[in-house]
Amino acid sequence: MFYDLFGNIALGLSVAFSWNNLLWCLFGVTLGTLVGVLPGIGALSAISMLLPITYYIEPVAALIMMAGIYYGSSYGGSTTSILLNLPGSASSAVACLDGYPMAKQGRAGVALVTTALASLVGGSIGILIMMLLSPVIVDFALDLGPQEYFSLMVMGLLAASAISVGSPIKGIAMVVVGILLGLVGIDVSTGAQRFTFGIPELTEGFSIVVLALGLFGIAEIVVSLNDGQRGTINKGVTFRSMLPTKDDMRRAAKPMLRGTGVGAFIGALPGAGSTIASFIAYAIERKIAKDPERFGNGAIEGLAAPEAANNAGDQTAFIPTLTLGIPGSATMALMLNVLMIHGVAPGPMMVMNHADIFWGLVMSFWIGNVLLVILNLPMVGVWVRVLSIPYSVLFPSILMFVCIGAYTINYSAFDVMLVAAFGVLGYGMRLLNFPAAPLLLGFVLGPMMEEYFRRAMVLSRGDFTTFFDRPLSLSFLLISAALLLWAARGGYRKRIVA
Amino acid sequence: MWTKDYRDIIGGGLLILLGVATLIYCLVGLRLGTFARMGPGFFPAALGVILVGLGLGILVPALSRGGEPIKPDFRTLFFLTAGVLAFAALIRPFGLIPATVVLTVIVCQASAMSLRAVLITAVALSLTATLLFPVALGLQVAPVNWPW
Repeated sequence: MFYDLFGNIALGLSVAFSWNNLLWCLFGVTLGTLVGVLPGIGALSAISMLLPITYYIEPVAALIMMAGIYYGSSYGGSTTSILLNLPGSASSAVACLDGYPMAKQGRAGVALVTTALASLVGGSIGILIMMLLSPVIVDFALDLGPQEYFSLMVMGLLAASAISVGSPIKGIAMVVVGILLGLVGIDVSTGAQRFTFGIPELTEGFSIVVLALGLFGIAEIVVSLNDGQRGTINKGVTFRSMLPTKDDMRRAAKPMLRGTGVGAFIGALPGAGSTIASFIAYAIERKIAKDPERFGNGAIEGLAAPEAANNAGDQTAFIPTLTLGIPGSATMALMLNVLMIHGVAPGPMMVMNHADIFWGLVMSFWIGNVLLVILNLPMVGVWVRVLSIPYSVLFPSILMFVCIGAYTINYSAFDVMLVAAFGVLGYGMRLLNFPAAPLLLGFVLGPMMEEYFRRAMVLSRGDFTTFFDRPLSLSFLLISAALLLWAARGGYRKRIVA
Repeated sequence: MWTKDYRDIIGGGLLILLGVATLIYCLVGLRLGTFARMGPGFFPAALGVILVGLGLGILVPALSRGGEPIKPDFRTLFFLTAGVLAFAALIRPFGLIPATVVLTVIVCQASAMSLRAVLITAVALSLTATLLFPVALGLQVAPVNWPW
């Protein structure tokens, strides 16, 4: 298994260090930091706006850039959390809890250095795990049949919706709605038109970019625009004030490693993202601390662990996405789309036949993470200045990118109208507290699930027990059942509290 | 505080409607097939049934508990949607610059911007869009077009 690890590393380095790819990586992480720093626009919207552009560049370069936006936004997001008490991106929400109190105590610099270090540690270990684990999973994935794939997707979708921050049943409902939206268009195996209502533009189905831009882009702007909750910015971050004391380092070291472990594990599960990883890492630190009352008042442990966790999770989330072709989060689903645009089918065969893409991407993570530390520490002043741009100036340009992005996928004005329609849907979902990320995940996995389900049923001549006869498929389904039970109990408990 | 959780009553109700509509659509218009040879209607019909179940699971408990009122901001939503639709209508016949200008002018009504600021933003954005997309990236979008 490991015999050609070094060969692969060398191949990856040669791809990642080409001038072209270095520049795309720099562009990606810079843009990622920017959208991470800015509240009201996340990695997901940024990636979907840029997706049409990736038609015109090489697949490796496109993936390197997209991935840079993705993990770069975790670095940038915590800057806003610490300085403004406002999460710049969802996975950085936890950084507000102890990061902002630290900033208020005049230790903003230390907080920023701690998050950057924790992110680097988490990210690096995450990449190492990815490098070692992926070949193993690829070997094992080649033996999976349609039954296993179907059960694995059921498990992933349930995990993504049940272990989310809001109500589990609403998450599951959104997965189902997403699958239905994914089925719109011509059915691949029978050629029948489904849910097209005679509209010719719908025969190809919805584009994921259009869906993501509407659900996240437009809806996010409506919510952020008249929010008005912007704190005062702590501008006095000098390089000198950044140096953590020995005591800080001693306190932060172990939480960083624990956070990395938690994040790497949760991130690698199909369906669970780094936002959840950061929350769990925080909860663990508070539970095992000798003096839990310090948490929420600027405890450095409460900053180091979740930051390490979300960056480790960001990296390991690529494992199921690339080796199995099953995305763990909505952003990963977009990443898969980049590959499919270029006619590369993700999965075990891709890792073997397109080793340059896989290993080039993995090695670019190292470059990206180092670039991010440079971008975020010495240049933190730049990002602070970016934060002082009022949102009312910013949102028209975001909308311009949304519109042009949607139009240029197929040069179709109908797609732009669909963005508006999905924007209304997305805003309605927010009003009713329905999460949008599970919907996007269901949209991507839905058609694949139907296909695997069909194949399994054909193979077993219509016998449902085929999903329970195979041990691996059975264990995925048992975990799914446990998740459902857990979700039902969680809902039950919530009702008693209310 | 509302006496009933109308947020979930509406949400659950809409899901039930969607589920029922999906089921009817599949039963009327699509072939269900058999387990061994599934027709195009089998999978969505099953999803429709699941949706009805989930909708009930959200709606029923909401009947017997209070809820926070919903505070919608339809004004902002209206201007953003109108701006995007206007862009969709103008981009092909009139080109990128007019579409971007109209988009900016409409969406800026959602925030309290002065007319001068709106116009400056509109000009700046349409120039950026032109320099970035057709010129730098080479996308096939005409900056200005005239349909007649």
